[in-house]
Amino acid sequence: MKKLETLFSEGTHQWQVIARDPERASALIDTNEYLIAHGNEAMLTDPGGLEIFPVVFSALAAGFDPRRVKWIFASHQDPDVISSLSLWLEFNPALRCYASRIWGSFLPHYGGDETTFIGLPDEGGKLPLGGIELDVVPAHYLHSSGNFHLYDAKARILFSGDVGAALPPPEEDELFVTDFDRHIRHAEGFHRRFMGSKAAVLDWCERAAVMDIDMLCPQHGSIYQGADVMRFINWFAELEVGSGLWATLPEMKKAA
Amino acid sequence: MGHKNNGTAVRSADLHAIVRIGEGIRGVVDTAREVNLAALNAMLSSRRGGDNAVGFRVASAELRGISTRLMEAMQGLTLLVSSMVNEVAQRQRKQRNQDYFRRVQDSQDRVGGRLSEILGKQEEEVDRLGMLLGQSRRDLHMKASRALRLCDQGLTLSRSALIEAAYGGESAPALKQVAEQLAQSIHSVAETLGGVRAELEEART
Repeated sequence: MKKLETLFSEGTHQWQVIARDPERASALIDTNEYLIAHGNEAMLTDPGGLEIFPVVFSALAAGFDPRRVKWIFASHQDPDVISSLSLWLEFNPALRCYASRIWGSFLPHYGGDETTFIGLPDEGGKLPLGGIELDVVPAHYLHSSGNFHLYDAKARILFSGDVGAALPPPEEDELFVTDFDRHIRHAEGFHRRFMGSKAAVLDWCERAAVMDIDMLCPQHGSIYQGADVMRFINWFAELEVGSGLWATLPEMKKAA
Repeated sequence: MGHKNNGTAVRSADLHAIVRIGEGIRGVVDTAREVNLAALNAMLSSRRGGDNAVGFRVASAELRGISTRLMEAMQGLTLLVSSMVNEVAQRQRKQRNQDYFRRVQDSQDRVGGRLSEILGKQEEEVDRLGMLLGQSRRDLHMKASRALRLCDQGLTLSRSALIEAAYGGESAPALKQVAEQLAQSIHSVAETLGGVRAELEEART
């Protein structure tokens, strides 16, 4: 079963993660869902796929009132990110979902209607949550062409979607990165293949390097904290990514 | 586009009901912890009351025992509710798939046979989950009733503590205050558990 764990708590302001499901079907990539709460409102980032809705919902409800979740933030349009949307909407039809506006007519294939989606402009912006604001950080082409991250200046946490994602073996699948060099080996192949543009990587690294970040929280794999955040940014800036074709060359496959 | 029908509303109501029960139980866990602390405080206060507060000390020790058992009972209820939320959510997902196949079946005669087969299997699965859920609801009802009986004992003891507080000599006002706090907390636990049980009974009808 997945479990709700607290990452940050100060008054009514909280970050929690629903992570680690050892019982999930092996065909499914494990995902981290983050719950950001302030005052009486809460936002869920990348709530996950249709198949894992029962475990995500029950993990959330075990430690938090799901009726307080008013917003969903979808970093991009992938099925492991947001295909459970129809079931969340059954529970609360008034839920609103933020996503890049380029996915406005694609996401309703998962559920919802014209009132469900709030399209985010390419340049990002601010999202209100119970009286505070969260920053929408552009991360286009990392890996989706309409892609956003979410920064919380109060908690100093950056939700980074697929950036920082890793697929470690079960014995190394920890909630937090404890050995950067060991961990990053499990992130390398994924980033080389999925991050299609060096320009996009550098643009993101420049933005992230000037933010005050205590935790960098990806949608898959362990959370980076403290000095490992800047280690990751430096590592990512140096990484050779490129076209998908380049990444499929046999010698690169071996390297990954 | 979103498909809204009665099925959706019923499924959503099921999930809402179990979430409300879960929230109620979380509230009880917090209050049971308060009772435990208040009972401990009562025991300490009674020591200051000396021989005059012996009766009060006995009542508050018993109350502490009850609140500990209540917290244990709530742990069991929390686990049960958590698995029920999972069962309801799984059933919701299966029923939603069923809705989609029914809509296809309505418009496709050529594959009607195969679709009936699929729908039959889905119905079996939904029924199986429904039966599991029914069993979990009955377990939950039984456990909530047991916990309520503990609360009844707790209320009786808190009344005794209130009476004993009056014999506490100089400490009587302090003991009375603690006894009232205990009674109030147990009353609140009983009220919430009563609500949980009523909700379960309503779901059964």
